[in-house]
Amino acid sequence: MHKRSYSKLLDKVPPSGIRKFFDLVMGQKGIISLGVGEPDFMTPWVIRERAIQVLEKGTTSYSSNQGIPELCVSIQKYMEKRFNCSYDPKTEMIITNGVSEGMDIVLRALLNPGDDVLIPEPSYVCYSPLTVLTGANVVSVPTHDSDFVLDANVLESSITKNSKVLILSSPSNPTGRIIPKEQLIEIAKVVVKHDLWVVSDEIYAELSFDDEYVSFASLPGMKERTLLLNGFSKAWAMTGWRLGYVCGPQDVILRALKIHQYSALCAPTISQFAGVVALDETATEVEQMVQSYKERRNFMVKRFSDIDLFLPHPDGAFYCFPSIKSTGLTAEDFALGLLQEHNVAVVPGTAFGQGGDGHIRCCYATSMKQLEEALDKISKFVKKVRK
Amino acid sequence: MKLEKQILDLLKKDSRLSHKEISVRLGSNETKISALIKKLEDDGVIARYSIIVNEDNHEDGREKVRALIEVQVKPEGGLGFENVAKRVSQFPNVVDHYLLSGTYDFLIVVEGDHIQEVSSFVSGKLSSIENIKGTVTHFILKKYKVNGAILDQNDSSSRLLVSP
Ligand SMILES: Cc1ncc(COP(=O)(O)O)c(C=O)c1O
Repeated sequence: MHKRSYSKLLDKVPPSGIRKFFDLVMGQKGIISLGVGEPDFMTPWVIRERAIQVLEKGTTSYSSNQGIPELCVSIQKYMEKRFNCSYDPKTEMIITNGVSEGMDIVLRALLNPGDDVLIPEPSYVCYSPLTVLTGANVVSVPTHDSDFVLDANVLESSITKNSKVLILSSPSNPTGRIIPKEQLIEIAKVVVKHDLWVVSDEIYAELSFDDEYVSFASLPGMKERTLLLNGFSKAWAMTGWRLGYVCGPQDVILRALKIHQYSALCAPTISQFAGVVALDETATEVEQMVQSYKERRNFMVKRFSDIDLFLPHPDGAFYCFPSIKSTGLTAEDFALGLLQEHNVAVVPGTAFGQGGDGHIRCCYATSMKQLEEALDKISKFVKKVRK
Repeated sequence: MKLEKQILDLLKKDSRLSHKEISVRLGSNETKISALIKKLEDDGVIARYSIIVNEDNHEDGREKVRALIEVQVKPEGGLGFENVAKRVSQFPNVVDHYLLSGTYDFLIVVEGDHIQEVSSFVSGKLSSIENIKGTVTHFILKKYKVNGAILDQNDSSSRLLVSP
């Protein structure tokens, strides 16, 4: 054994499937990309303006570990008004460097080596690696037989004796699916029966196009078991600001805070002040962005139906996850062919874990003009390979 | 949001959208959209379909001049400003015309081929209308934003082409 060897846990984390595709795409010019995972809007001006003021005033020091009190209070009000969840701004939340950090500290606060974490797949790319890094095991819960909405019965049958945490993600990246309230209630029963923690990634909650969004923590009895993750990256178009938050029971928050204070110290102070404006003053801007995503969602649904590719209904976020099985190609070959022949980038579903094969993730957070062009090309490509 | 409002928002951004395209984006059907648009037109909610020109980028347009003119009016008994307003609005040089609260009464936007045309409109036509007591002319030097559209925007995106 070398003294200068590396983390063994890290070796268990496979290389990113997205990264692989990224390298391919970067080598090509004139790409229309449906491969991005972020909004195509600029951060609303009032938010940027606030950050400029903060910079001018020179308020650029560390904040407390937990985050600035003003933002915690804004989050409390927002969560209460918008999702009917009430959290104490002093003891039940932490401002984090995006949901990414929130996920990391929460999993580390909850897990021991040997614990099992239930992850409905396909899923967002960070859940599994961050789980592995705690020494816990990933138990993949398949969702492809229920059009990518987690089914409580399938969850129940995936439970192991070491099952400890369930990660929920709705609306989902990569599928755009939202777990409806009735199904959440069934899931909650399984959670109680097997005494699980739930880590609920609700970063796309605002981007729910058809129904009122139901936060898992708002279900009866679930607040005590749920670590709710949310942030500003998506609905406020603030990906580069690195701002999110964790809300949950005080005993977990205290532990997560212990990690946060040493590994992050605090979330960017400038972003935190800007976040107050985001929550308090930009409801109209957010509504306009959501409406615009919804219009593009409708366009995608229509076009994929015209091309005759099966599309599990994209209820939210800005992704859709059509099946390309009818073409006979694997997701990777489809994505590669489309890129090489038509300069359109999509991400093969395999980048998001089990059950993603046979699907591609198309992000529609890009201009209508580009979407029209991209869909014309996808249509052409599908016709050609089907022949 | 009401469907009418959604239609108007789309058309305000791009008045060339077809009824079919609008129906796809709003998840409605074309017949319904066409009927609603017809009603909006008939009711005068949609006054007309137009474009926004950035004259700075257009050779022929570059020489056109616009001015905002503050106009003070003596209101007439019983009629108020209406009589004068009707006369002022008729001039083809007048592009926009508002009645305002505050220190002056009308704000009008006047367009001409050159500065002289606008000045002679003001001194020759406008000032000679009875009950117009005074005018202040401001020539527009540069347009930054028109009808909600920021002109000359440099929106080169810095997004990565593929991200999680
Ligand atoms: C489901 C999901 N969770 C979390 C994140 C990361 O968010 P943040 O920018 O807040 O770290 C993303 C970003 O793509 C996401 O899609």
